[in-house]
Formats: sequence, structure tokens, C-alpha cells
Amino acid sequence: MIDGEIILYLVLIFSALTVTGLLLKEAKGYEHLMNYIPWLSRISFALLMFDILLLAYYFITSDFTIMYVWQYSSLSLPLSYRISAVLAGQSGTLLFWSFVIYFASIWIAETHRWHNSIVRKTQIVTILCGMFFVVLTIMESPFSTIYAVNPELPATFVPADGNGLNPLLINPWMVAHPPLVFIAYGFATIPFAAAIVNLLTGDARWESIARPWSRITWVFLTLAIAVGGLWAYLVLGWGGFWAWDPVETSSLIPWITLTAYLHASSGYRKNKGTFTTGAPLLAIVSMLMIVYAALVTRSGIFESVHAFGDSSSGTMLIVFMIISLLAGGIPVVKRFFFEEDYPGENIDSSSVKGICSTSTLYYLTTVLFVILAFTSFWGITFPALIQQIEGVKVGVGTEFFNIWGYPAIISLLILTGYCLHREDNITSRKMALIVTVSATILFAFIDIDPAFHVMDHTNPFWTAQPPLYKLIGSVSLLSLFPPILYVLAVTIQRIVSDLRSATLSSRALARRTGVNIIHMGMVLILFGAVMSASFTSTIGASVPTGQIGDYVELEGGYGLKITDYRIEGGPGDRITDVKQNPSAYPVAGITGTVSDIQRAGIFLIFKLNDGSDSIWIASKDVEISPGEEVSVSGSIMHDFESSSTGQIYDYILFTENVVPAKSEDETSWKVYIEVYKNGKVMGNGMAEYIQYKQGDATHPMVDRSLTKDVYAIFQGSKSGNIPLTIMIKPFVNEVWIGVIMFTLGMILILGSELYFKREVHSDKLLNTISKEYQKEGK
Amino acid sequence: MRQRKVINIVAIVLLVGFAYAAVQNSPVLSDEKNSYLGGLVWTNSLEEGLAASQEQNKPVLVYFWAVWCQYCEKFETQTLPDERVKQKLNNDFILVAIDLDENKEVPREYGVSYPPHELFLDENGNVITRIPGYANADRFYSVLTEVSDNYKKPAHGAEQ
Repeated sequence: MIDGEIILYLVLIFSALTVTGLLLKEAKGYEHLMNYIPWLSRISFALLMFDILLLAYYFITSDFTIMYVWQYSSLSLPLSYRISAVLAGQSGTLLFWSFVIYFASIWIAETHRWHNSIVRKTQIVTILCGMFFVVLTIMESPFSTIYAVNPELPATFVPADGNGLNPLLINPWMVAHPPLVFIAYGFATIPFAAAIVNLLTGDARWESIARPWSRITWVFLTLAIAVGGLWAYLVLGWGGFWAWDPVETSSLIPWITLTAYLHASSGYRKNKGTFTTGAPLLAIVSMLMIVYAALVTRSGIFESVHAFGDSSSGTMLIVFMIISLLAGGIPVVKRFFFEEDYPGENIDSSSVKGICSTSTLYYLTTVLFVILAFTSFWGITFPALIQQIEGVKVGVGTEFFNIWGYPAIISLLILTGYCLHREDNITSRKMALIVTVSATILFAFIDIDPAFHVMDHTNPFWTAQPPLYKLIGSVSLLSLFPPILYVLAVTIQRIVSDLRSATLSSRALARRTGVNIIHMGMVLILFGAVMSASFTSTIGASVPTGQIGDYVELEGGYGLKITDYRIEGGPGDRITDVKQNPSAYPVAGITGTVSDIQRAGIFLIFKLNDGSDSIWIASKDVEISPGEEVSVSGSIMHDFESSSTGQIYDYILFTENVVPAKSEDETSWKVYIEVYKNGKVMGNGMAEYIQYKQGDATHPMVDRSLTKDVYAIFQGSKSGNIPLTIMIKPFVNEVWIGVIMFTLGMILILGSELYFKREVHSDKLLNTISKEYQKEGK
Repeated sequence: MRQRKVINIVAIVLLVGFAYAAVQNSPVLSDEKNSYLGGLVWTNSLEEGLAASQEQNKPVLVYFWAVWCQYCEKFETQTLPDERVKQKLNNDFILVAIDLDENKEVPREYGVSYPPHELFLDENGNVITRIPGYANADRFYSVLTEVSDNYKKPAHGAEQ
């Protein structure tokens, strides 16, 4: 057997050789080294790729002698989930993370044909980061055998089956989520490495290396967060997509700082004299926050849905953060306090100076993003700190993030509108700003609904809030609408004027449209999030199984009809129990072996035996054969005489669904629902509750439309009632549309640069910038 | 630059002020009996709960929660304080509260991955039934009644 762990050591050796070679080349200028370095680097990448494929192979072939495979896979798992289970635990994700870093490192080197010194320097830092994650992977080795973990196991022992994947992860969105997360995390290494190079050497070309990677990272991180939220919405049955739990929040922090970086670096790009500390610092902070997110999900300080368990990698991640902080922090402090910015700091041709100059507004934007990121960071950090230090639990709920985030968000929105407003006449630009700000302040006092405030006034904690919370909490959410309309109007005006413009090149048009679409997307996301969080109606219902098929009146003009109710798989109800007391089973679910198949007109009648007893089943004509294992559910009749067969059946179960029996470990309850409002159907679908060997999963019914989601949670029933929680959630889909706009907008921006890729990336341009920057005598 | 220095100073003052105010204004949840969970008395130990269950012949309610969980907060402030629920819990159940951030063994044993989660156990630790997620007072009360009614008749005891 090939040992994946030995290969990881080989990766380390080849990487160390690559880094040494690159350092020698940079320091001493040994040109002939460049004959070997690319190959050393390619070999370490190839070895790592082999390792990831090897682990996938172990999963595909269900090799349960590998501890990691045993932990997260089982024979009953379909192939696609067996492959996705490679990223189900932390050692697998660490291996994948290292792989992505090496991929990025080899990609920048190959696309620049190893000729560029800034690329080589960036590669040194990238590979060092990659090596760090390889060491982490070795510590958590995904390749450990069960014999190494449990020395008392005899060498001949091979587990018959694996422990299986957490049922909550058996979902298509969860196949997509981990790769998106770790591709984003891995790609963020390049801007980070380039920023470190800039801070240590002062090389101004770092931004053009970091640019495409920071944008791709941003796209992947956006999608990763969105898919995670969508999964929570569709699988957890929490009834929402965002719960401000430490895991979700920790992934949002690097997103905010990366967004800040994108703004800062765009300022830096336009004038190399501005954001000389801000831009590299934000690239580094984004990476640190990514490592922090990894720490949050796995160190054991916090625990959440990502219950990966305790791990020693936590300490190593803290070490990584400290080293990066020192490597980046010392030059930042030096640059910030001892070097002056350029005097000609304006980043556009506009004549406005002072506080309203574009560069100052850009600066204010990044500062607001940093404040927003810090409130989120502090919200998940200080409770953990207090608990560690004082052993006291502190409650930090949704209202904390709403209250502290709101001032920054509203300021950012207004600033966005003002910055994007394209108007030659400065007076009318200022007028628009003044009107928006006045409307915002005015609307802050308009109370249209107790729930529609920064802090929900129907929240039982509302009256007990401290004065500061009450002050911000009593602001009406209506105040969000003037800035939202402002940004919308301004972006639409920009799009229209860009499309009309005859002078704009197609590249510039694509880029500007991308920028406009992204800002519109932001507005839609805020709108959807605020509306769905404030105006969700929740209706509880409990329908007796006897009323299946009947219309049930609910509060508030709502109504409900359960059109079907099925129990599939699992051991089901025991036939002896059902026969003893049929009235206790209005709907019985039975799994057993088929025998004695008879035809009776349009019906098929057969016997089902579950080991305890046997019972007759009547169903529509289906393809079954004797000896087959099937599950049925339906109602039971006693002493039924069939006119077709002329036989009297003591107990017969009428069913509409005969399905192949799933494994005994899995039972699923399905409710088919129609939801009514004032007598009209407003949504329908199926809500499911599944019990697996390792736990359970709730799949709510979601009927989507542009204005609302009709959402119904069903959490299983063991009595004669079917309990349901129905939620009407307005404008949830605007959030997902916003996310799609984020992605499309950024793809347009990336595409516009790719179109002119040669020009942007050519060494000629890099060298020009380099000369300029030397000329400036920096 | 002068504007920037001003922005920087304002931002730093804001951040420090916020960090301080946040710590000062957060409700402290700790007391030995977990009485902040709906004003009821809970034990943190499942063993203690099961021992009490054997002694008093009552089923065990294990409530899984976390400080950051907003649906737990809703459950604790809207479902648990309901008079019928409170009375039923006090009279007929042994209450165990498990903080998912602290105790990892019990959730793993019973396949509980996320809060809130309400698990009903017999005195031997077998699962009677469970509610994954939030339940309103009506729903929760009906499950409580069902569990306690069946529990008193030993013949129809635990399902599992």
C-alpha cells in the first residue's frame, strides 16, 4: 500500500528545495538555478495532487482500514457523497487547502513563465504558507490507519462498514460548500503573500499580482457563504439562512475585510501614493481572519454545526497568525508612522479636494468596512474570551450584531450612493446627498410595525435592554430605504449613461457594468435580509392523521391541506403491534418481504412479512416480485372482502406508494402540503423528516417566488398528529438574486481584465511600473 | 492626509468605545443551576439526571442549547415560560441542560448536531422521542403530555 503520509513528507522536502532555490536566485542572482526550480515546484504540486486523488480513491473503494474513511463514509453512501466526504472532516480539508495553495503558487509561476522577480518573491511566501498547511495535514493525518489509532486491533481486522456521513451533510449544497470555502481560503494566500512581499521589500508591483486572485477569492467566498446559508435554510429547518452563529459569522469577517481590500487596492491602483499601508494591511488581515475562521470551526474554543471536535491544529493556527502578524505588522507600523503619503493624493481627475475628495471617501469606505468587520469579530470573540478567562457565560444574540452593525451599514450605503453618483455639477451631487441623509434621519422615527426596528420590539428582551442598545435599537428600519433607493437610482443612472456612451471601450464598459451590478446586488441582499427577518409570519399547526385530505382552517386567514402522508424505510411499525391495535395506527408504515402476489382488478394484492407477522397489502399495479424488500404506508381495513378475488382479508393495508426498502438505518416521514391564504393556494410541496443511524435531518418544504417563500417545517411525528410550522418569508429570494449579481458582476470585471490579459500581465507593464516606482525614489 | 489622520483617530476611538460598551452591555448568563433557561432548574450532568429519573420514576428532558443560538433564545423566552409547560416540566420531568459548546460527548452519543434540540429519555438513557429545533408552547406541551402520560404506564414505556 502507498503511504499518503510519506508523500506529504516528500512534498515538504521538494518545497524546501524550491524555496531555498528561489531565495538564492533572488539574493545571489544564480541564473542557472532556474533550470531546476520550476521542476522542483512542479513535482511538489504533482505529489500533493496525487495525495488528494489517493484519499479520494480510498473513499471510492471504501477502504475502511483508513481511519478517516471509516469515520466519514459507509457502504450505503452514493458515490458522489463518498467523494465529497473527502472534505467532511478536518484532516481532509487541510490536505485540500494545502493543495489549493500549491495550485495557486504553480499557476502564477507558470503564467509568468518563471521570469518575474515579484512573482518569485510572492511564490516564496506562498510556498512557505503551503508548507505550513502540509505540516498541519501531517499532524492530523487523513491517512492514518485504524491500526495506528487503535493499537489493540488485530492486523487482520477489517471493518465491514464505515461510521457514515453526518446526515446533515447529505445534501447537494453540502457537496458544493466545502470546496468553495477551501478554494477561497487557498486563493487568499496569493494577495497575502504579495502584500507581505510589498511590506518587506517595498515592491509596488505586488498589486497586479494580487488583483485577479483577490477578486476570484471574493467570488468563491461569496458563494461559499451563500451556499452555507442556503444549506442552513433547506436542511437545518432553523427557518432562516443566517443565525449569527460563530461559524457563519467567522466566515463573513474575511469577506468584509476582503471587500475593504478590493476598495483600498482600487484606490492604490489609481494612485500608487495612496493606501500604501491600508491595502497590504487589509490583504494580510483577510488571510488572518480566514485562519481565525478555521480556528473557530475546529479549535474547540467555539463549537457549532461544524462539530469537528478538538484538535491540536488550533495551536498551530495561532502560531501562524502570530508569525504573519509580525511579518506584516512591523513594516506596516514603520510605514504608517515614519513614511509620508504622496502629496498629490487624489485618485481621480475631479477637482474636489479635502474631505469630499474621492480618495478620502474611499478611505472612509475602507475604515467603515473595518469597523463592520471588527463588530462581527468582537461579537464572536469576547464571549469566548470572557468564558476562558472568567468562566462566565455571556449572551450574544442576533440583536448584538444588528445593533452594532447598523450604523456602519447605513453610513456605507449613503457613502456608496455619494461615491457612485456621477454628476458634473457638484451642487446637485451634494443636494442628492443632503436629501438622502435627511430622509434617512426622518424615516428613523417612523414606526410602522413593532418588529420593523433595528431591534425587534416584540423580542421579549427588548424592555430589559441597556439604554445604549435601546437608543440604536429603536431606530426604524424604514431608515434603510432612502439609502437603498439612493444607491439603486445612482447605479441605474450609471448603467444607462455607460450604455449610451460612445467613447467607452468595451473593456471599460464591462468593468463598469460589473461594478454597478455588484453594488445593486448589495442593496438587494440588504433589502431581502431585512424584510425576511422582520416580516416573517409563523403559523403553528397540528393536523390529526384522520384529517388527511381535509382543509384545515388556521389563524390569520391561513389554511392547510395535507394531501398525502408517507412513512418510508426503516424498521417501520411492527405488524403484530398494528394488528393488535389498528386504531392506534391511522397511518401505518411497514417494511417487509413480498410474497403471495395476486391481481384483483386494478389492484395488486400481496403479503408483506416483517419477521413479527405478515399482513395483506393492496396497492395500485406496480412492478414487484416475491422476495423483494419494500416499504409501504397507508390505512388498515379489517375483514375486507374483495369482489375480484372473492377472498376475505383479515387485515389489509391500502397504500398508494410501494417503494424499495431503504436500509434499516434510515426512516423518512414525508408530508405533502398545500398552504392556503383566504381560501386560495399560496404554496405547496413536500416537507420531510429523516432519521438516520447517526442522527436526523429536517428538509422543510420551500415554495419559492419573487415576493415570498412559503416554508413549512416538519420535525417528525410519533403520535396521531402531524405537527407543522408554516412560515411566510417575504423577499428571501432577493438575497440569492443579490448573490448571483455579486458573482456575475465580479465575473464581468475579471473578464474585462482577461480580455486584455496580455497587456495587464505582461512583464513589460510590470517593468514599467517598477521603473516608475524607482524613479519616484520610494 | 490630515483628513485621514482624523478618520483614523475617530475610527480607533469608536472601535475601543464599542469594544468596551459591548462587554459592559452584554447579559451575563451564568449561574450554577442554569436558571436563565426559562427560569427552571436544570442540571448539567446527564448521569445526575438519569439517577434522578430512576429514583423519581420520571422521564428525562435533555435540552441542547448554545449561548449564540437565536432559536434557543426564542425557545427559552417564549416556550419554556408558558404556564402549562412550566408546570408540567416542574412536576413530571427531570431537566438536563447541555451546552453544546461545553459538552461534546452527550450530543455525539445521541446524534445531536445543532441547537436547539429537545431529547426525551427514559431512566436507562433510551430515546423516547425527540424534537429537533424550536417548538412553540402548544406543540411542546402536547409532546410533554404524550411522553409523561405514556411514561406512567410501565407496559407502554419506552419505544426503543
